[in-house]
Amino acid sequence: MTSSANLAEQIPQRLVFFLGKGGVGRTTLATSFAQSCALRGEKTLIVQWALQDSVSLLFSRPTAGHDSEQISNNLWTMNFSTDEAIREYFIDHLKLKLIYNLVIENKHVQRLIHAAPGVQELFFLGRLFWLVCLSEEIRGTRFDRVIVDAQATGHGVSLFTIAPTIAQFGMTGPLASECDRVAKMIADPKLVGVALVTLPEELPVEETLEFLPRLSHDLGRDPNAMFINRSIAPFIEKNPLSMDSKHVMDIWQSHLKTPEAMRALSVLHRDLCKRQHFEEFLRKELNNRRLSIPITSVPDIGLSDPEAGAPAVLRGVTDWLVDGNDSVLEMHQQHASPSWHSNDFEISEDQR
Amino acid sequence: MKKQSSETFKGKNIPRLHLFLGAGGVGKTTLSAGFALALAQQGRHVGLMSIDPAKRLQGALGLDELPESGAQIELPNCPGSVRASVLHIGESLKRWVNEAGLSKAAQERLYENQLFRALAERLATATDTFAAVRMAEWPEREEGLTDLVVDTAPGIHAIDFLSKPEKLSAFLDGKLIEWLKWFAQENNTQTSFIQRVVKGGARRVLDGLSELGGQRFMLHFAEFLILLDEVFARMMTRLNFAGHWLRSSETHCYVVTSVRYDAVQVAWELSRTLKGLKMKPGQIIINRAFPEALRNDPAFTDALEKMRQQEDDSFFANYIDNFIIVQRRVQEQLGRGAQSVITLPVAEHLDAHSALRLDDLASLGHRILEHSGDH
Repeated sequence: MTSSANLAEQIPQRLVFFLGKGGVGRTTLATSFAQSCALRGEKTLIVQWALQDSVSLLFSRPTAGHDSEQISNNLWTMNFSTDEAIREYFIDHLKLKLIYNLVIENKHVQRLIHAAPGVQELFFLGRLFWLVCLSEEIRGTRFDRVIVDAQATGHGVSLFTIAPTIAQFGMTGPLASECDRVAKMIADPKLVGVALVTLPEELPVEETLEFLPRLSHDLGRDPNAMFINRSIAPFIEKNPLSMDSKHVMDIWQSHLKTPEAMRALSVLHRDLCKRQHFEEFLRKELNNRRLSIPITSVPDIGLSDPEAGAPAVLRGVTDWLVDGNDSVLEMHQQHASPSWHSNDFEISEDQR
Repeated sequence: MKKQSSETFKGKNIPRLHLFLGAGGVGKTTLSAGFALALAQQGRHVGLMSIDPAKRLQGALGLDELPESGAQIELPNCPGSVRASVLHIGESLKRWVNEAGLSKAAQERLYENQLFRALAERLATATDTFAAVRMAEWPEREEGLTDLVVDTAPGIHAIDFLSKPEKLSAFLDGKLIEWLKWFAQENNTQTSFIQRVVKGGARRVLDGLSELGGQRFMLHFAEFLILLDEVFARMMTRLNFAGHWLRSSETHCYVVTSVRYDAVQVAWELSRTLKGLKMKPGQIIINRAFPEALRNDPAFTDALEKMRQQEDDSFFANYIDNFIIVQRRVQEQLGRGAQSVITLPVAEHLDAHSALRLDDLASLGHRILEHSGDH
């Protein structure tokens, strides 16, 4: 169990990257963490880099673009756009409007920017640098926390190597200084924190274990914290017998006679056991490697309420993170009338 | 079943392409492997290109590690064949350089070039950029290939794979490469007055770029482009083919989801993207669903209700109950779309703790084939 103060100690930095492959719930965890910061009174910005802003929807707000929009008390979000960032960088920051018009807007240079790996990442980091290190001085706005959820970068690990890599290309001029300052920013352990999100399933656990040494190497330090999302461990603590296959299947057997039915149920029961198994396996492995990364198990909220849409899941996760509120572990006892809206996963249709 | 696709490109028959897309963890890789095996059992010669296969799957295919260049899977008594490979762009690039017939000196210079090294070793995003080239290369390397099954990157990243062919070829085809080459040569030789006038526009762009990144970088970059000229030329041909192949009327997409709202949302996004890219939307597969017959069996619903009342261990019963509720929502939701939906119930043998078996994988593939009309 966790508490907000505890998490703030684990991840005290101003700029926090949430990393993890698609589908592990990275956005939910990043948003919950940001919300916990906002609740403590910190002015917090969630920076997304995705095809589409999905955070605003969780707060029933219209989608945000490249400029930050307030979505709740002390909480803002934005969705990074490479084209906007490049324009801002050249025109507002470097004051090179002529070069921008002549060079960057040139059709062929545009093609390079969109095809070459790494270029967009560099401008993304540049924007983060601006938010964390420059915006106070230039715009008089300061965020106490900037939380990064960069879906567009896959794992997100490439973000940490991009600047040193490009720095080796022998650049000089403004782009070289840009690389230099973002590389310094990332290397600063007081400024930049990293949280990993994973799932208690075979592939995500396998990947996390492979990915960790690379991340620690590229970053020059271990990540601050790890979240195991959709965990059943907190439920199992309350129902330890539920993992005893023989016990569970014997009871079912007394009610159900068909072997097909028993087979299907035992497969699904094994799924559950596997989740618990992979969570324990991951913790054990990290222990064996003598890694002292704090791990937080985040309960699978959908298990206690199958009707819960994404906003309700976010509330549950934030409650859990903030004060270890375990009411989220109570399984629903009767089926709610269809309060669930089909829009929950169709929302994006309207947004386009 | 037709032996070859009727589709042609530049007068040659092209193999059928089957793409598996979907959120992470929904079983894309397993289903694509099963699908490839099922096709082979029908006598077809299949390529299987995977991204990030789990060790368990590699074990099932009888391999410790899947090589980048592909390995033949041992299939006893099988009329067809499967050649499997894992995507590893760094190694592919080196292979492409070798095949382009660069001189030894040029190769050495290329391997020294920082841009090339970064591209080959470091930049993770290069995978999306070049996956389509690797895909398009397959039929060239394998005579008699009838089908290629591609397991794409999880979630919305598949979009990069689908749209990068256009982006990359737009750049490779663009003027900038020509200008940069000219820039590099100009540093060695004198150019005529006329050349200078013709290249006037280019000159200004290049000067601007030099101001931003420095002359030295521009020369590095130009060298990189010149050395890779032949490699890029071949890439262009392959990218053109990839674009054509992806949009072929015989290309079939399977968007895979599990019984989870977030996975369904990704499936939805992907389907819309396919439409946007003018590709056939294909089918949605709900993988690992609760068996329909059981769900409607009164004996089962009765037992479920009783189990949910048990104080100590109602957890599993509640889990099952939830699973069924979510599945019903998901099916309702997907049923409203225009795409046909294939529901694959949980398959016992695939979930055993013991090793995966080829036949079990193939039977999954056969189920997809039965329902998809993809033949």
